[in-house]
Amino acid sequence: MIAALVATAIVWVAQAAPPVEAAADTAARIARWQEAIDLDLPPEILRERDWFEAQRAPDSRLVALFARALHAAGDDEAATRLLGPAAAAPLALAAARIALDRDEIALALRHVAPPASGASANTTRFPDEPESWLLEGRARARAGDLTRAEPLLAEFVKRAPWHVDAPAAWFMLVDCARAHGDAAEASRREESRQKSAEWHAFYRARRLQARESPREPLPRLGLAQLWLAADQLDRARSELDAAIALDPRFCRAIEVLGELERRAGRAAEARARCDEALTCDPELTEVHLTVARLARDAGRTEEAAASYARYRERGGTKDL
Amino acid sequence: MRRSSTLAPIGFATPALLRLALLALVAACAGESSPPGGISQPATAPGFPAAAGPRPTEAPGALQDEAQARGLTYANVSGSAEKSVILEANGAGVALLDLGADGDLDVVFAQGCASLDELVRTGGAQLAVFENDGAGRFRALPVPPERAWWTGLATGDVDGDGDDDLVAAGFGELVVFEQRDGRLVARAGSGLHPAADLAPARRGERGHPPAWATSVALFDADRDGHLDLYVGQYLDLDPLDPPRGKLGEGPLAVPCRWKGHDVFCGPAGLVPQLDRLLRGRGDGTFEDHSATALPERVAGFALGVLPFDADGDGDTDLFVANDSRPNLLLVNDGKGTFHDVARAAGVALSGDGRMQAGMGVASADVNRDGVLDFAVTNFSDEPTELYFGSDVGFRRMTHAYGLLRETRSLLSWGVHLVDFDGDGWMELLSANGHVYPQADREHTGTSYGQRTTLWKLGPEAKAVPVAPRGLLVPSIGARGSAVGDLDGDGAPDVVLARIDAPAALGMNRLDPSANRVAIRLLGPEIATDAVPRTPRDGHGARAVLVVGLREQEHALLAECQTAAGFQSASTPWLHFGLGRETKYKKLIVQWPSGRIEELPGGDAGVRLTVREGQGLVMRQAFR
Repeated sequence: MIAALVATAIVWVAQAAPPVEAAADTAARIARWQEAIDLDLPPEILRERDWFEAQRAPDSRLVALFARALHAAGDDEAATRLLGPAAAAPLALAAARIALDRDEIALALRHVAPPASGASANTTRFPDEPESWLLEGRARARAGDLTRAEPLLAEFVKRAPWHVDAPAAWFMLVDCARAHGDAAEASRREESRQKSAEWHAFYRARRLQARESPREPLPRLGLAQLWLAADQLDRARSELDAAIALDPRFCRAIEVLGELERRAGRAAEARARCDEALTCDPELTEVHLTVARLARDAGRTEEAAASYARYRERGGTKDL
Repeated sequence: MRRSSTLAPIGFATPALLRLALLALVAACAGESSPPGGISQPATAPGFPAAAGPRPTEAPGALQDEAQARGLTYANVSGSAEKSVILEANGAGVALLDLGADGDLDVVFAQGCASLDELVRTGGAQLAVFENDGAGRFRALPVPPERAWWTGLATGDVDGDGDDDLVAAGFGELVVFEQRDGRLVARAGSGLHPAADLAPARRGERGHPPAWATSVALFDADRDGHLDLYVGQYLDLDPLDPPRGKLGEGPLAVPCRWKGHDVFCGPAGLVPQLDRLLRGRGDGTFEDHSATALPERVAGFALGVLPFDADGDGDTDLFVANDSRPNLLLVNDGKGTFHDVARAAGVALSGDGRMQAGMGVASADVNRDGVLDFAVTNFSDEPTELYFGSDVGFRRMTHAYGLLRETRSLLSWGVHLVDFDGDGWMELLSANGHVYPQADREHTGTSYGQRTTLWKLGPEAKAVPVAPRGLLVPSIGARGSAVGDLDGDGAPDVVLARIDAPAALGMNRLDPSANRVAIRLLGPEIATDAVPRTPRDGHGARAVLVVGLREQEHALLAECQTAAGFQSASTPWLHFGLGRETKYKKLIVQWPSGRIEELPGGDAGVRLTVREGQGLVMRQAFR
């Protein structure tokens, strides 16, 4: 099996990129496999071994994810051989992760640190890949070099605040601040870490619920609310669309869609969704806050006050 | 947490030895008693197995499993093989203590039940007690009648009468067993129960999860000379209605799965229980002081509890390994009130800030710098963490020692930092085994049955695995573990409480030629009202053994605590490896009372008993 994988990998090196028409499928598979890795479900990826081995030239991101699944399943040798020299960014990043799990910090740095000559101290081998900043920062932190780790990790949380490893990066940043005696900054970073960790804990639970009950719209609503809280409106909309597709009479999803439209600056659509939500369920609460804010933003002060009063009457506690 | 330096700098670098002269030493060397007398060596006493043969055994260079041959016939019962309820997965603890005051270590095992139904129906299982003949051969003793699904064990002299007693914890049970005429007898009115009806069998109605104690530790929290008790508690589990399959209801239910496989539920999603701290009155009874002694108490799925002087200020602190919650480092204010500084000390979470599944804990001075270090075992995909004491807090040494690589596939429980091979450097031993039988399925990266593992933590500052031989070969899951010299040869042996399997007894033949010294530190026999005061059984006392000449000179530090590993209690004897050195230069003892004593050097190959204020009261050659 290992020999077959390696042989396949060698062939891939010489192959052209996959055909354009496969790109959508590839993107979907990458997303699915990434989620499997993030949710610690590597067997889901390895069950697609036959498909994977049949590919002439899979996307390097798929190769990297398959290698990470092999590693998670305890087959480091196959994972490492599959990654080969790990020249492409996704392969190098996967190789660095595996090296870190094996406490091979120098090897990890060879995969993600920029070449020594001519490189700025504040960059990484693959600056366009957020994970490169993270993994080099993690390697430097584990090596005890918090001074060099800090800017890398700070750049990572700036570039990928919702990455599954963001809480880890914040945690290391707290240690960096403590190491140079900046208690106030450590405290600020700890607050960010806690928020990030809490968000990810909820996100993970909602993803698992959505996978467990794919016909249920409620976990999708939860995911939408998490993305909305993160100001990731496109992702929130995607989850709301999925929830409403599952249940067109899901009044709370329509209510949240109204708030999403308001945040997107689409006042007319927002108002239409709010009206639809109230028709669907007159007992909703949050919709009145959205209506109040829409009115406030439009300068309709009295209407805003009246809607906000209705919101408070129903137990709402947020400020207008 | 900033470390105090009452004793820490002394003797750990040659110049620092000079500071000894400045200390107000009460060097009391009260004469050496004539050797042994205490231990008889019967050919084969009635009931004990036939002599296992002279040392060394036929298997030098290993921890050789001789449990069956030596009569240690305990076999663990821990629910069904399928492990459908979390209680079935945690297994039993084991304790070493001297029953009958004959100078050797006897063995007590906790025991579980075949099922929750059996627990409710019968009240549970009895402890298992084995008497040592002094040469490491065992026979079963009559057991106390008390029944429970027993979990953790703690040892110490709770009533100050000079012998070892036992605290046994369980799922809905917590009992003080005092030693009377060499037998363990439950102490009535011990005050350990928060309510009279904790045991699940006493309820018979749903909705009343009992207090589930896991690791328990006897130590002196308030320095009054009486042992106190920390009770690590796990989670709410209704024995009549345990969660199965999923947690929660409706579309937001979360399936109980691991790596895509259906497994038992918990601890995540279940309700953690609050730990407790009970003050000992010195007569075998206790009083709950949790509210005042643990003012910031947060429930945390406790599994491992380790008392040790983490900040070197002379009192005893606590590390609590929590499962899926941040660990606690409870620093003692000197009066028995504890504050958690784990986050600031860098030991609450993983290096990535993740909550880990802490299981067992052990401490020792791994790098020989005069400051105690400690190790924490964790779940699979998490490392056994190694922390070195530093000027402020602790430094994570896990990755520098390669322990993520070494332990990532293991789910580890009992753990010990002990110089097994006698070379003067610690080894790390961990008892391993997964909680999920589903770990044997494809692509999990781990396995259900796992080998017990041993690494050398020598001067090269890397965890070097010891080749699997003897005890280290079988892939059988273990939980509790205890270390002590069971055959009187000076080398610490190890007992494993394997899960759903016979116990293992690893007789230490790693290096029979290594020179060793074993030291027992005891507090005064006659208690006074002075505070701080050393407990009669020496809990909390520290010994520094200075060894070697000129540039080879070094100091070895050890602290007397019996709670170590997971749900278990090890020997109160302190074991020092001298390697090729045949003598030690001096022995310095720091007593919990604050007194410091220095004793002159001597030959290796001996067991020394030192009593506070009396100096050396017994010197005894190893068998």
